[in-house]
Amino acid sequence: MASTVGDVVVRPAGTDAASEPTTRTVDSTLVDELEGVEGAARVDGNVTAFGVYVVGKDGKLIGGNGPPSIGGNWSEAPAGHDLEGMDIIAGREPEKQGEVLLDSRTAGEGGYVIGQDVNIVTATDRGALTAELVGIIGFPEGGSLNGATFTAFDTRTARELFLDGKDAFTDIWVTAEAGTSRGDLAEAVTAALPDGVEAVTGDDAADEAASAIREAVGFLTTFLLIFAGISLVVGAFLIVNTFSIPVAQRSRELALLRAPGASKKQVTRSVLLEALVPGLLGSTIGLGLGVLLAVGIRSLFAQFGLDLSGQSLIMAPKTIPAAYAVGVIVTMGAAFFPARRTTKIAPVQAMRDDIAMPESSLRRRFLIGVVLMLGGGAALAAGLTDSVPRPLWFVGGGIPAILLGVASASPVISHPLLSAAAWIYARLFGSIGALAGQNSLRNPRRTTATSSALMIGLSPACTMAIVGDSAKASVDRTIEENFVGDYVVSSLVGQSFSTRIGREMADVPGVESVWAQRFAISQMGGEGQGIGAADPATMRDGFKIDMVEGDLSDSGRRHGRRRRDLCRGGGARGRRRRRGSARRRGARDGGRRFVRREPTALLPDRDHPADPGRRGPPGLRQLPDHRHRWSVRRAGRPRRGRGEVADRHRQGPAGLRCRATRADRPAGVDDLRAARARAVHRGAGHRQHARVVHHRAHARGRAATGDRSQPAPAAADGDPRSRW
Amino acid sequence: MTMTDAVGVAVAARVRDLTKTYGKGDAMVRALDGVSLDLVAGEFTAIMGPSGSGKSTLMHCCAALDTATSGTVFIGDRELGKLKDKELTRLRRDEIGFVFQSFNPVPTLSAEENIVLPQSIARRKPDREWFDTVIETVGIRDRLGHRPNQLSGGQQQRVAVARALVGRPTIIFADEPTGNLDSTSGAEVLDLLRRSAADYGQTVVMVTHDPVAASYTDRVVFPADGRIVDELRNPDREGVLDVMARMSAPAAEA
Repeated sequence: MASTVGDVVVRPAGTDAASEPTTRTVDSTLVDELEGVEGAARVDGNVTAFGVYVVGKDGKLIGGNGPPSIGGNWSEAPAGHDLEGMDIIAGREPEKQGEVLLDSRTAGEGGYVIGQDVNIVTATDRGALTAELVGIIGFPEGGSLNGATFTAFDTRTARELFLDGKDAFTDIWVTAEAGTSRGDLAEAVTAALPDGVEAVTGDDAADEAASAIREAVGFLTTFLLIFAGISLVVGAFLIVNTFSIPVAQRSRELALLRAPGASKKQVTRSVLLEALVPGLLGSTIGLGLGVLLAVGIRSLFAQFGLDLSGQSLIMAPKTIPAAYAVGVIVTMGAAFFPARRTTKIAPVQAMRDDIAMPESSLRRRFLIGVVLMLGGGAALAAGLTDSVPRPLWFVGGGIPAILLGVASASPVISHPLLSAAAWIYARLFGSIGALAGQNSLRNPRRTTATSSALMIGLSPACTMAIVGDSAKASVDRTIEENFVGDYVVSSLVGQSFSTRIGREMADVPGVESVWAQRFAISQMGGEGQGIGAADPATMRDGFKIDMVEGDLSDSGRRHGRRRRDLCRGGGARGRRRRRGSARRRGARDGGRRFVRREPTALLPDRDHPADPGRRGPPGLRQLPDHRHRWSVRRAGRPRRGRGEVADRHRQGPAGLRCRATRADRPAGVDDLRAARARAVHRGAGHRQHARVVHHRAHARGRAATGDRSQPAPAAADGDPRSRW
Repeated sequence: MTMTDAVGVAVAARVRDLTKTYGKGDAMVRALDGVSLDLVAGEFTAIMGPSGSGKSTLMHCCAALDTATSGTVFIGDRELGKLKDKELTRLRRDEIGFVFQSFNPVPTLSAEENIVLPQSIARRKPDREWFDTVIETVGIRDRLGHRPNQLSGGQQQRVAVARALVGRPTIIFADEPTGNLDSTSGAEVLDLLRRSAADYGQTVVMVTHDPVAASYTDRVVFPADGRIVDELRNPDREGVLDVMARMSAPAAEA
């Protein structure tokens, strides 16, 4: 893998560049066969794996948060489009086991120079290993891996590490001879391929990868847009407020123009022009600050390991006019209101110091506010109860309506509150307090405009705090509800890790038992479907599973199981309805809480006795048919005393995290840490997007039973390099 | 732009049965209670009364700065109640000059800009000759470039008078123009208003509660409780005081 993508990519049929490297491979003999294809200049086989982490000299994991940690073999296959790809910029290529290449950024960050031993953690059963750094790779003509790390071995070692030593490749790149188009070459190659293998042009493969990434970051775009929307509403509201607070003063000044004969139109125009200037200025400054903020966020991301410095910031042309349009329109709109109010009443009225607005206007405002609040509330309720199409639109429309309604009705609804405050002030501070109270009551609009600004400013802050805490609480509760054990060990970066860790933890004194859980996302009917897997023997003890139907012992069979209704390709609505009925069923079952967040198909982890860590659930697409229908039910309520849990999060040198599931489980943490010190970090290798393998340690008793969950491994226990 | 009444006197403004109320129910205040009044063209008229007599309200309604509850006001031959907003604005601009008690110049404009404001609002060039005449009359030539906050109260009020005069309106309304001035400055302003009427034939109507101010005028009308109750021609201070004394003791009079 010397570059980004080859001219033609040969890979197992049905894979796409979007998925992580799989356990499916193409036979290495294909390389020789394809060399005979007309138009093929060279053929290179690639071995690629994710979850190959480099541990820096300081014992810290390099990268891993977001961008992948790629491992593989080194080949000199050139990139498509005659692009200069990655190349060895120092040293030489690895030739035998124990030699490794690193990309320049990773080597630099880890503090490694050529000739030194590099600590590498893989997700394979091999666990950790050290290898001598023999070369540095990089983009000679500039370029970046966008924060990904790349570790390259010689092909044989890479196969041993990532493909069980199989004489195969993850994919094969065919480079076109000069004068041969990639499309033609792909066709020629396809003709030479056996069943089960396909050839696509590099461009197509790159497109697949790009669209997958776009899809993956799509939620981020939505998320950012939501917050942009919130801040826009808040900002607009604040501007309107700012303009309305000195409205009495403004009205007076404008009346001075009206008295000597300025027309309404002229007054309005002058005010709009006046607002145009701060609108333009504000928009310009805001744009500038936005750019600075983007630069700042990018460098912040780089700190977290998501290095985007290879890509300059993109400022879409439409951003600038959009920013100006919003800034100017909002400002001018805000300025328009006092002008309109002034022109509506007689100049003499407007000239009085204290403009007493007619009662009817306040009443109308109150009514509008009430209508907005009721309408918003109804929309919100309709959206939340899912009784309308596009419920999110209703929620999104309802919330601002309520906000505006409250702000609009506030002069009236705040009156009793202000009166109460005035009374208290008068009691506490005597005549000064009485004065303050009367002032706040004198012009309820002004008072509530000020407090509305505060209200609006605080609401997004509260939103963030609530969302953040809820997410955290939900994660905590998920762990508490779903795990019987006392500690949960997971990867710091949300990736899977080596099964070896589970075995080692089982040997820690005080650990009673260890349960492993495997999780992957697969495609099913066009939707992502979570698949969990665990040893059938531990399913009953290790997880809180209430069978709704069927029997756990059935899961000991070779066949995977899942809820049949999940297999239907129904959309969100259908699933929600099912969830509702399930909730009712839960209520019948003694009123116990029924929570099913992500519907998950649970599979017995017995299909792969040889090496469960490597293959994992093969994905529903390849599942044999099933006979029973059953679902997973989680029981139990969250318990008290979870505050300490956060303190119990521990961070290990190998990128593992140990969380206590209950605050009252003190014992064993140190032992577990000792285990983790020896433990290694394990990456993907599953058929689908394998994500995480939870190993769970039970530290309640001292009885050493241990290894129920993990079949004995064949490899590498005696390898000294695996212990560090 | 005047009209002649039955006696053959030109009338600049005519008020008939004008009523203005504030509030509702028990709290209702009848500021004007069926006022009828002719304001003769070229005269300097004072509306003289104690506070609460409705004199300011009367003037605001005449000057199209406020709207009456009922009754009619004619400026020249046009009835204010029948004018649309646009026409009302034009009337305010072209046919009415106004001098406020609290000066009310636009603070961001210089004295000169304030004076020609009605013309610039109307996008008209001021009559330079008349402008010079007015400036000479009010005597603020050396102050033209100053902002209102750099002028004394008397100077500000003279600027206001100049602004009212420069447009040659049908009628100038002055609301207690000397109320916030010391006696010297006040005398200057009053003299200015009298000369406007005497020398240039400018109709001027002034609201005041100061008998001295009233003595500068050609005619004084006395409203009380929302009606016009008395009138004096070519008043002097003592005459005005006499009427006031009579008004404050109506029972004895009867």
